[in-house]
Amino acid sequence: MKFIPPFMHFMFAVLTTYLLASMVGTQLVLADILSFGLRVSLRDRLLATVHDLVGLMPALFLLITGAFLVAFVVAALCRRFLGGKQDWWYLAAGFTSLPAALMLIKYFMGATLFAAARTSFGMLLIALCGLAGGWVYTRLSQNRGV
Amino acid sequence: MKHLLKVFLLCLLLGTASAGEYKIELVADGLSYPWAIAFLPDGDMLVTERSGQLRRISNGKLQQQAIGNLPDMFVGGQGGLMDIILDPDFALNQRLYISLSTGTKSANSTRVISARLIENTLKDINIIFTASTSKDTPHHFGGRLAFLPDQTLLITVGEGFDYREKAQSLDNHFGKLIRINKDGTIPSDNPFIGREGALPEIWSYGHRNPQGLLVSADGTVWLHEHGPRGGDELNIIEPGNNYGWPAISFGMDYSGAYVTPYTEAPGMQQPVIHWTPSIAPSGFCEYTGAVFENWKGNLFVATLAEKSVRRLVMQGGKVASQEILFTELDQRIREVRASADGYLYLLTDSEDGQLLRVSPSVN
Repeated sequence: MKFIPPFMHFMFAVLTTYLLASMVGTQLVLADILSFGLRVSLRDRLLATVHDLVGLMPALFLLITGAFLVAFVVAALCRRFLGGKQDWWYLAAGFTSLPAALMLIKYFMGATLFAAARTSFGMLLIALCGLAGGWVYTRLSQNRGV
Repeated sequence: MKHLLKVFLLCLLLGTASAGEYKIELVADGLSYPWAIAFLPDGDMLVTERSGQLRRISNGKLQQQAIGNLPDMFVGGQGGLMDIILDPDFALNQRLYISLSTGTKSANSTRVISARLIENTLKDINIIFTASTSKDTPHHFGGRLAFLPDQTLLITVGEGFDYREKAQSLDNHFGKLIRINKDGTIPSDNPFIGREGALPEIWSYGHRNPQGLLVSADGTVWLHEHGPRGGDELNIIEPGNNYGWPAISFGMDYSGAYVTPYTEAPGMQQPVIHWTPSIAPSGFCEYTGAVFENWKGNLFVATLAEKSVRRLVMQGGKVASQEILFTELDQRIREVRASADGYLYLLTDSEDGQLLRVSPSVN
């Protein structure tokens, strides 16, 4: 992947997390709908997933971009000053960045704006989506030899 | 000087407002996020301020000293001192009912107290309702109060924003309309009495953040509630009904995602109307006075986001038409109430909130 500039590594990581987090968010919301006794058809599930992929784009994509930007800079600094394997720092940054950003938003605004993150289970899944983004970033960066 | 300038600007505004069938006069300003008005039999008015003060307006003047002896409350976000209504027998017992938020930032809930107003102080204070589960969000308290003709008290409780799914379960107070007796006991004919796992004070459920509650002259219970992004609703409440939130909604989540892909479902009530995009409805009243003949029998909905009051012309339980009023004020309007002498009163929602009186432009 030497032909991909570093900025694109970052954007691929954001995109990966965005796609996963959006899809996870929709499935969690639909699970709640099922718990109310409503039937959710496969067609409705697919349409809702696509709807949310489009609808969440401005807010969630920006949130992930901001969270990753801060987290990856911190990861780079940690690696530089504390040492250790680059992969682990970026995986940790990916895993923690979204929960940290969402908790900060809740602290200042008093509410969780991304519904999937309102429960501990949902927050864990969102963190794992961030971990996937961190993993994509390390893979692409390693292949380039950074 | 600042006060004079405000009065001058308002007078300029009145020129525009008076061009129609009404004029708007400033009664009081300097109110800190005023929330609700109660009209006392002697002509005075009580105004709650969300920041935690209860103020009296006497002979058209805001009294500098606030009503004393209010209980401790949680003031933050959308929480604080909220609604106030008089006991139907106020002239005999001087008792009033006040909703407020209690607790802390990390554990708060909606509470209703009753107290006697003796001169300028609350006395004989009783806590008659506290929402059962506390929450860690300072949003969606509901907090509107109304008496049914049988003198039982209705209380709206919001779903706390982060707790929306709980509006569909009957084991908590989130997103519910509550009905209790004046002393806090539970009426024996509430709809969920005897149902296992259900709280007996619940009267209806599936609400989001109801901030408008009205028992109209014909006994109909009207409730309006904030939707998220779109889907503000006006509902007619029947005991035991499920109003759908968050299983069905005409609104979207603020994030841009679905709250639900469904707008209807079996066993869940449809609104009389929904407002999409949101107008953010707050106060609510029915006009039964004689001053505005054309408005008789109409419902009035104050709005925060639209900065207006919606006049709803009703026909057979449906909204026949709507008129958007008072946009010339360019103010978020928290409350609209009709006084016994037929005037309409508005509260604007700001740190320097105003009490305004709407009267005919020509006598």
